[in-house]
Amino acid sequence: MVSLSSDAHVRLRHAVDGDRENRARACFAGLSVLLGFVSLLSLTTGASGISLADVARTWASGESLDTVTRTVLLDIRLPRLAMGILVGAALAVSGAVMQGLFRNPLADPGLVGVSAGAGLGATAAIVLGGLLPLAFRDFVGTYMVPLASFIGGWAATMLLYVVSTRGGRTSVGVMLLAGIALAALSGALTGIFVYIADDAQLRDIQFWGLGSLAGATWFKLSIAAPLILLALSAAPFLARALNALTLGEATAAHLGIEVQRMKSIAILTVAAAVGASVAVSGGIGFIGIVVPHLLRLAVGPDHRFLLPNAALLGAALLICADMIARIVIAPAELPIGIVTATIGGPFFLWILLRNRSLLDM
Amino acid sequence: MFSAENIVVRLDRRDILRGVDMQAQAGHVTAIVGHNGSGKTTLLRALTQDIGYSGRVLLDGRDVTEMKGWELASRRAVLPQASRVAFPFTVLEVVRLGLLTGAAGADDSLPSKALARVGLAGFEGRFYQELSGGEQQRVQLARVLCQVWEPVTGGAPRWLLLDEPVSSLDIGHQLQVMEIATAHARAGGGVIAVMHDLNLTAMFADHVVLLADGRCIASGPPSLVFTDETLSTAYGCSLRVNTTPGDRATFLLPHTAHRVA
Ligand SMILES: Nc1ncnc2c1ncn2[C@@H]1O[C@H](COP(=O)(O)OP(=O)(O)O)[C@@H](O)[C@H]1O
Ligand SMILES: [Mg+2]
Repeated sequence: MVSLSSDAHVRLRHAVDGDRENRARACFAGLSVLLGFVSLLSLTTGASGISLADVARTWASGESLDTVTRTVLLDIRLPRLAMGILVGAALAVSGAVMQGLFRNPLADPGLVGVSAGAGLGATAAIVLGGLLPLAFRDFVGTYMVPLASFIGGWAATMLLYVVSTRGGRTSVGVMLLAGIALAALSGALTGIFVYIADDAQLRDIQFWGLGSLAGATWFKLSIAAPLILLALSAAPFLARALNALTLGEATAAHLGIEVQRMKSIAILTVAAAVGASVAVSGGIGFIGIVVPHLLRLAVGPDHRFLLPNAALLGAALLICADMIARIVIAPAELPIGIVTATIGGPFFLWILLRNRSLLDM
Repeated sequence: MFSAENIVVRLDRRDILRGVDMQAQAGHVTAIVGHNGSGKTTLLRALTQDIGYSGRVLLDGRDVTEMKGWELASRRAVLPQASRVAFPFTVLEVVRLGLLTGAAGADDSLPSKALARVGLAGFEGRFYQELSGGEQQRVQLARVLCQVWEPVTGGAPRWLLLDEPVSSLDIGHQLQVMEIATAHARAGGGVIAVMHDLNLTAMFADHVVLLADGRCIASGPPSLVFTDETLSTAYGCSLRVNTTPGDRATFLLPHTAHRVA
């Protein structure tokens, strides 16, 4: 009886033929609308009380916006929104790519040490930055921390790749475990820097470590956007290969996929997306694991549909989290990482409980 | 023709294959048999470029190491001994992966046709992970069939390389799968299958490669390879081969075997 009814349930859910393409397209359309909606909402949310209706009315009546409104909209909220969209999309897509690469729904750039490496770079820059010659400090300026975090993330990925690749083949198991070790090591080194940091540096580290979109400027955006856009546009070309890889590396090769080359591209894609994101917005966790998981439930694991949908949902979710961060203790702001962790942590536990068998590997 | 010349494979400082030669003709079902650990899977993995080896593997006279991945994929499909699928794909989505290399103009109905061929019509919407082991094995076979659906394209045979394709199947489906393999060969394609069951091998194989301890100790049609002496040496126990009275088909009963101390 029980097995019969669950059988019928499965058939109903998939309109008998097991083809989820149409559902994925519908989901893409729905998420596009959602992203547009939360973007507008985000532009009209904030301490200065400017509403979109006001702006629209001003424009409609042919007047130009007053300077304050202009500045708030164009130089504060718009870059912040653009940054949220880019970073959210980058985190979700790189999570999905990493999970496809590792054939494990728990794999995530946060988990394999990429974010931790980036964090170490940033902390080192904050603490050691004061020791640098003044001339050099002036030269690198405010971009020292982002730069260091990008380098840290990239170095972590490369190290991970070298450790877990032998004779041109990457072992997924070794890579996962090495990632955990790398994250622990980065954490320990970061701890040392925290220990020797002074009070002002500590506040910097803490705020940066929890992640925030607050510092978004057009200039920061211009540093991060090319890398993120490059990574996002590489991702669709990985989709078919990632699908084949779910059957294992050998079978993917039998299906005609150039497995080693594809893995190198996937790793570079993830490093670029995560490195650039962490550099401009700090350690924002859980987007990379929550978004792909939800979408696999909704539209299935086919990466041709998973990746574009993940970009949209990741962006929408991060913008929502940013709004919450701005509203909860207004006029002050919560670090956005606190919001994503508060929502994402329990969700992650739920995934773990549902997938307990995966951990018995 | 799929052929291997003097294949040597070393893993963990042990010689797993010690100079194996084999040839498989298109139009024939070629079976690789031998005791557990004799190197059957390793030989197949050398043929499919999964592991490093010394020696040469030739497909229609061309060294396979000089062929591109997509080119090989259009010429041969591989069924592994066991397959895990990492994410919750439906049966249809798994079978469709066989069309990945896009043999031009592959039509959308092929996955359903392939599923019907392996006796799984109507399974398209089921989740792969929720199927029994035997059903999963047949879904993978359907995927493999999709990849080389036409046994011959552009005058060249296409190959099915199967590692123990019937080991987890009931007797009805064992016959069904062996008939699919035979039909592929009769239509001009090639089949190389690692086989566990000597009776099914005797029934369906045109050519047998018998391995023992990493060497090929006999090859030829089953009626010549399956002799008391050869099989007894290969499997390390005393075996008696029989033939049916009418059509002289070879068969083997475990009842007549004795373990040698
Ligand atoms: N990756 C490996 N490393 C070391 N030894 C291996 C490996 N794979 C297989 N072997 C050994 O090679 C021998 C042949 O294995 P295999 O070809 O799988 O045998 P079978 O004929 O049963 O398919 C076995 O003794 C096995 O233990
Ligand atoms: Mg085997």
